[in-house]
Amino acid sequence: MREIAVRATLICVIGFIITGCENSFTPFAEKRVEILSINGFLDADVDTQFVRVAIIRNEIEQVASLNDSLSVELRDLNTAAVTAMTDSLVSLGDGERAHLFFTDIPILGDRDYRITATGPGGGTSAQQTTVPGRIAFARNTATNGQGTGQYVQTLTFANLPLRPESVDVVYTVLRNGTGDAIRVVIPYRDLMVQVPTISGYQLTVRLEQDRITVLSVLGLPIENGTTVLQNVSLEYALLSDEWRIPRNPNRLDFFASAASYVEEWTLPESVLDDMGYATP
Amino acid sequence: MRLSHFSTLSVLLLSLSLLCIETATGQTATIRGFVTDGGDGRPMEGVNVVVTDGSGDLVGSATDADGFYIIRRLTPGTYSFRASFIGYISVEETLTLGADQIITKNVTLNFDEANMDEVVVEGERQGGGARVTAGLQTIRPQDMELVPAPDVSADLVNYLTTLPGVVSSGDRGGQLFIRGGEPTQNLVELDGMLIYQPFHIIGFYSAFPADIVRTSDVYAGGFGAKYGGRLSSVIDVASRNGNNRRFGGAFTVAPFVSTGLLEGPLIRNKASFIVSVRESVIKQGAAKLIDEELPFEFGDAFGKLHFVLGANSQASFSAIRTHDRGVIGGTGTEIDIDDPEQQQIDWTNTALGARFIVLPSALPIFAEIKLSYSILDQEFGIIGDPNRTTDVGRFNGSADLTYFAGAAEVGWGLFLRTSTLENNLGGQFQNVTSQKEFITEAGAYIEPTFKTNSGFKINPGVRLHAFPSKGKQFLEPRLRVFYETGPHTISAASGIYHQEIVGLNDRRDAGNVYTAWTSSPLGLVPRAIHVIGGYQYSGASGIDFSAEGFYKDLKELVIPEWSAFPRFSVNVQPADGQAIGFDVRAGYEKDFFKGFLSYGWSKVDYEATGDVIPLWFESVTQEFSPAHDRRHQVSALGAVEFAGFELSTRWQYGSGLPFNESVGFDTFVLINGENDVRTDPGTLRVLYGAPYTGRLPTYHRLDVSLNKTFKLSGASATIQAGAINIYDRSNLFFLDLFTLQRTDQLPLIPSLGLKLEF
Repeated sequence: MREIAVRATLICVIGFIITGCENSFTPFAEKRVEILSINGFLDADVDTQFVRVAIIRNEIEQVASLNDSLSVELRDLNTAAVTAMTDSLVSLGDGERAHLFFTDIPILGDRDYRITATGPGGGTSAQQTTVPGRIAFARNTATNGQGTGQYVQTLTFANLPLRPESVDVVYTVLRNGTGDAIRVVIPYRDLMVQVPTISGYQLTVRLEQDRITVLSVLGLPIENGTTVLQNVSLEYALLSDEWRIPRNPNRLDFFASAASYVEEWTLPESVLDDMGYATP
Repeated sequence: MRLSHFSTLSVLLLSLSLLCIETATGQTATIRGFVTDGGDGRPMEGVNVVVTDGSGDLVGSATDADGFYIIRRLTPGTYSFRASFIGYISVEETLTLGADQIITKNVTLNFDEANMDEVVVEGERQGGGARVTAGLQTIRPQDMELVPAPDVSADLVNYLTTLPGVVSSGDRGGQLFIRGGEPTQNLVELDGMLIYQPFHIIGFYSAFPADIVRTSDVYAGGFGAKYGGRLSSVIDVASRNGNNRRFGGAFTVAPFVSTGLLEGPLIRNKASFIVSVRESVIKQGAAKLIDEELPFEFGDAFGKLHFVLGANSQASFSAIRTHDRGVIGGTGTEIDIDDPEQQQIDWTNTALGARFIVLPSALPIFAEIKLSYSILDQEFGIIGDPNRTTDVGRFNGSADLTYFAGAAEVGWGLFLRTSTLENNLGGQFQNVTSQKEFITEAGAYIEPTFKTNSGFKINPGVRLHAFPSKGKQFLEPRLRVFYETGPHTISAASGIYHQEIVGLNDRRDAGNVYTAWTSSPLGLVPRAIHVIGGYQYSGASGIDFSAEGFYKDLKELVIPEWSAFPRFSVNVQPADGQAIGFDVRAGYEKDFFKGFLSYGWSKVDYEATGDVIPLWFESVTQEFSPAHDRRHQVSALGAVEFAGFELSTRWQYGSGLPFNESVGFDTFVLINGENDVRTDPGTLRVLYGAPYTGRLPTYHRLDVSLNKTFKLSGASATIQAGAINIYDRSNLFFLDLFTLQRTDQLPLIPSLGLKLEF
């Protein structure tokens, strides 16, 4: 009995040695469907839109596949207007060539766009983006307050989930005597404060402190009282939600949109006088 | 409703207290005590303790793992007391019991030299077999020693991987999935101390070498109300006490680890110590044997002091520290864990604990008080400048009491815990906060056991687990039922489980075992319902057989979001799941042979929900088989003694685990305002089709070891020769899709080890 057990064990070991070598394996799916990837974004601030579309490669060393039958259409989902984007072949930085599709139709804020690429085998890939629209914000009157004795003005952006890409307060001033309008841009993005109660952001414009910057840019002393402040404006650029990692990369494609907007207003003469601006 | 949960349990506990007081004033007597081995002072389990009255009526009990026994409801009078264990000289005495008297009768059994062979047989009978009831299997060092390993000393994890419901990540990574559960859903405790990441980076080793283990209760599911806070399973390890009669020790040298163990009395018969240290020697040993870099380093140290404070009380203090570091998803000579630029995983468990056993003199109660503090420090990245870190700690204070009331036993307890959780995720999980958290847990459970003379044992329970700092509380009913008739046992278990503190891990990358411990994100609390039913046969002919089916319904799990390509930063998303399966196991043990054959089938499904799933799959949910869904698993284990040698073999087979099949490659241009699609070549990436649609090749391996022990003067030496993966199967662990370079599980590695014991 004991010998039988030992022999059986040895037979099993030899059997395993003979059968244990089989191990073929491929990490690639057997059925490869035609998949297209889309890279790019719609920018409401430029005249021409570019997106790059590629047929994915079966093997890592394979050169990008080019095919004249590749087509791309851009659909405005709000109007159902469809634009066929124009194909072009470009050479990239690494020397490879790629399909770059473009169109010059205007891209508008608060619109939904879908881009659909169709491959030579009929495979399609689609992506969608909502171009950010103008933000509604509340602006209080300029006050000489907050314990600083200096004029400030608070802007409140309710229901703004994502901090804008850029936020600048722009002062358009007239240099007295020349009549030239000069724009002085002061970055404010980093000064935006997230306010959970309104699910948005708040921004305090430091009007009187900014005046020092404006005069400095003009090369004038603080005591100067001849500069005319024509208006104040808020210029901001918004990105669609897909810019926020990992929102966009969760799909195959990197496709998003962007837009910029300007809001202008003027300050009361009494405030301008108090701050030391001249009245035209 | 929440208050009513507290109220219900409070009333139950209060009633129980009153019951205890009432019973203590009854007109019956009780005998109880501990039975220890006269050779080393350690508790003896399974000792028969019986009392016989003048009319010959016999009442008895068997000792538990602490050597504790209790015989209740004895009519006042004179009894003949007898404690016996095969191979040991029985202790017999006459006792006179008065009304309301509770006598503590501690017994020391001495080895019977004349029946040494029987003792050996009896000792070994504690191991092997197929003792699985309602998801519970009790594993002893003798079981572990059956499994061949590249080391003379056995380890708990080696045995666990032979269980049909346990899926291992293999030789690398130290991850165990028990009946569909994730590793972080397993509650692993040593002497009541939580061990967060107990399995070493090499699959043969854990924090629990056989040399320090007394018993290990492994609940693959359906665990009772005593345990909570985890969804899947419990591994409750009890360490052994040091020898309180004489000094002893053991040293081993082998290609993977070298170990040392010392034990002995601090105060003879009263206090003992045991210290165990293991350190890996892979670089100097196994790596040289196969001429391949094995980038792993690990070790552990354990110490325990045990005191017999009096006839009615004992105390022990335990401490453990483990360390692991290595590169899991890579291979080749270019990997060097001592290279300061090498990305690697590094973790350390530290735990301190105290355990007090008290038998109140006036009450038939076994009380266990535990205090412990556990820490896990984990880093992933470059040494000294890791990308991700985790520092978690937990203090636990608990009291577990068993009240003996005739045929019934009532277990109940209270616990209070505070945890600190701090993770620096390095951006890995975008919607999980990294801030430091302080979490308090408190609760209570009650778990009576009712037995009938016809073989029924019913073990209902309820657990209240509250998180005052989070304003959450859960009431969890549990039930375990047994029916035993002759050699047949039918058992079933069920329960509801919650896990508020979860481990987050991105299993899309097999080479990444970094785990963040956090309170469950997304406002979800993972919960599970377990249902288990089984049959067990334990025949006198040495044949054991068990079959058990299980179902786990998993809700509100938190898993990494699916993405179509490997990505570092992801959101986590909710998922539901279910695990269903069955295990069959047959064992045979006779004279020179013991072994078993087991087969397990299981199916694990997840159904994920999340914002992005409709974007990708155009459906609201996505169903898939997670990475640990192994459908078929076979284990064959056999040990044969011949000519003074012991030959152990273990063959394992596992069907392929799911993996993400690639559908191709492309280049992407990240939208960040700096890249221009008109000129930027982009970054090459691999693309996946759908989650885990592929299956890795089957896994199988044969390990063999041959032991021979030589008796020396006052010592013994064991020489072990063996080999793991004896037919050199290339079991795939990880494949780099860009380079198609494989990382396989361990190849054929011969081993030669020596153990000296004194």
